[in-house]
Amino acid sequence: MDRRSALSRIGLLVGGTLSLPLTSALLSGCSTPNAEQYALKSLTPRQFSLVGKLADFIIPETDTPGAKEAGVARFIDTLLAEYYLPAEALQFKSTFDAMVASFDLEKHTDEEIKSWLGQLDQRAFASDYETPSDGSTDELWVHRRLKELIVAGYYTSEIGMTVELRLKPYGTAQYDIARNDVERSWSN
Amino acid sequence: MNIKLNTEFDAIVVGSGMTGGMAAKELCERGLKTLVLDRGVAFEHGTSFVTEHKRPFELPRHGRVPKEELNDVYSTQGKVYLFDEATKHLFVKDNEQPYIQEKPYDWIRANQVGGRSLMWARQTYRWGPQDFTANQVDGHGVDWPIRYDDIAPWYDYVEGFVGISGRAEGLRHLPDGQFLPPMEMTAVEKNAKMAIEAAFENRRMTIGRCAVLTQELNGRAPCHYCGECERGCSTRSFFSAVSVSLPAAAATGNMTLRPNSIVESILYDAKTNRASGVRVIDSVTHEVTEYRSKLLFMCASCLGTTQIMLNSKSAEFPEGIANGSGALGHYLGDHHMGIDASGFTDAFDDRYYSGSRPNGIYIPRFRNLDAASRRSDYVRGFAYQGSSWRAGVERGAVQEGIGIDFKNKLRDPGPWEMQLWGYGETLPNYDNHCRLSPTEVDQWGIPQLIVSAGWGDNELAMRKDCAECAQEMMEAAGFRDISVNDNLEDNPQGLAIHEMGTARMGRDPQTSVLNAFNQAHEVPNLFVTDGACMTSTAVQNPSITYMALTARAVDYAVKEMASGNI
Repeated sequence: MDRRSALSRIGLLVGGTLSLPLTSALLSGCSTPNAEQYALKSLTPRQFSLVGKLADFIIPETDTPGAKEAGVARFIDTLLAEYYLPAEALQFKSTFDAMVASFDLEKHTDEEIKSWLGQLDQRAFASDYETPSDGSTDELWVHRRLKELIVAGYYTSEIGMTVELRLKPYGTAQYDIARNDVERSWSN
Repeated sequence: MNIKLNTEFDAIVVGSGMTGGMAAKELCERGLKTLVLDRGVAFEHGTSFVTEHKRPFELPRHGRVPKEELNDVYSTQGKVYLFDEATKHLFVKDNEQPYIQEKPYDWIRANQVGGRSLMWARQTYRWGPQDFTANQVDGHGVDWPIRYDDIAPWYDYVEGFVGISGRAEGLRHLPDGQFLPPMEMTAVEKNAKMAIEAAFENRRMTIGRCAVLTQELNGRAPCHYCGECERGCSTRSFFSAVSVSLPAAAATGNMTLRPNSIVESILYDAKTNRASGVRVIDSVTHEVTEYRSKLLFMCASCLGTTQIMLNSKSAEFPEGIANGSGALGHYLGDHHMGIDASGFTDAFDDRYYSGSRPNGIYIPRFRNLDAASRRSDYVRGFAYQGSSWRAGVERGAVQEGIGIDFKNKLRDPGPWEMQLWGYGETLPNYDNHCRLSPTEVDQWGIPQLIVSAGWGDNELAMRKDCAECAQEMMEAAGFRDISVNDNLEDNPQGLAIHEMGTARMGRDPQTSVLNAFNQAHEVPNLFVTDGACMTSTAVQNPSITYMALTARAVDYAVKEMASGNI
């Protein structure tokens, strides 16, 4: 990447361009994180479980693992504890609690959750959406933050970068090739 | 105070970065026992590259630096485009090494041996003949004491050592160099080049000229395109002092490299009118040592060198060593930036790329070069760097969509985007300066630097034209949704990290600090070859010019020593 491209990116993949050939050793080192093995740093066990559940509705398991298996909830917990300012993390968590209080995921079927989440997503990413200027937060605000974190967490995870997408190979740069010469978008 | 004395060296180089590394190599290869001092921590090729080739998921926060740490520890360094979890250790902690911003000024500083040569953006452009005559022609600043022909052979010399990839264009104002094969443009860049060159007779787009090897050079491997030069380059394909020039100096057996060595001041011997050495404070032990030598090269970075010189006071030089002119500390200038133009295209959805090119494209200056390009509203000119790419998965974070369709859509690369970033020349201005604080000192007792620099009317007028030209070129190239931003507020002096001046070269000892060979007018064995020496800023990225001036100055100094003049 040249000097300034980094500035223009959203920054989700900050710190991350690199390609090594994928090895089976890497894959076998990729375990499924869960709340039992992992000491939570910021989220409550219930929040952690709900975040993981929503993450899997946004990026589900297909022919590749989904967000939950990629450890996205753990990534979000880590960032809330170690990246955001304490006040920001509190605001996120309290708004998240309000959102899941208004729609109790545990009392709905998967189809109902998908429908609710789809409508929420549509409203949150509508072209006329504006972040409240008075600093107040609502379910649309927290959904946008959550989705940013889920996308960032998944596509910078080992599964996201090497199983779902592909790392650029080392060795040569070919800067004008056919789109169809590569299988998928590069992850870095 | 217990001060140790060391007299075993012929030459001392203060600083081990872009110019210090080159000075060390040149001095050592000429047989001088050379001491290289750096205030930063020890840093070794290979073993110190602790984040090289690390994936985001191998970093605790996938690249992020905690916001609290950014605010409290890295308030200035954190603004650098490449500052993240994998690179933060390369920068000083602002809270531990304070300076005073009389006007907003971003002083970007390295934390280790090799200095900022480890984090530079690798762009390498020769200055043209017009850059060495500009001050004389339009009357801003003093005349450079050299011309292009004086430095041209030294560009050849250092380019052959550094290794520059690029394309020869035959432009008089951006002379070609000793180029390794150029890197490639994307389909979008090739198209933009064709369209822009067709629409505007005197505008050219070329692939960036950069200090990254595209073929083997002196045992260094060609680039493997990981795209993260600043994390360290085990294959030495990316030029840094740590990987290339310092090892060359060490190979002679003549170099002693001492990290953690803060030069408090330059010692001056009035009887001989020579700099007799330097006083060094060990940053860890606070032990003080005086090193004596016959020759002294200041390569501590523009502001670093000048801070030391201002702090080197004697009866003969009460305002800082070699500062009879009063110019020391003044005429500080950085390139002005923050004009960004971007646009999208759907015409190349069938094209893509592979590998991470550590380089972009370059549109050389095209204003005020001849009668036809003369402007009435400002002097000098600007240039653009740029790049293009297809949006990646990050676009998913700000788009509607959930579930299988959303995931599958992100398997495809997104739309092509191209950006241009303007960089402009800044006129020499006495008011843009640094000076020592009369009251504030750092943890080693050294007076803090006060920096006071801003922009002038010429820069502001130039920016309007720079933004308009970017807009019309993006339109000519057929991009959609073009946006052009001029954000000077977030780009104060310093952040282009091309700071120059404060110990300028000139013909007249009354108005300048250094002569045509980077030698202090008033102290013959004192040389300054980092950015401090620059008499004007031009618009090109300056590192290759500093290195050429350094090699030339060493050649001169050693000959003068041999003939007994130093």
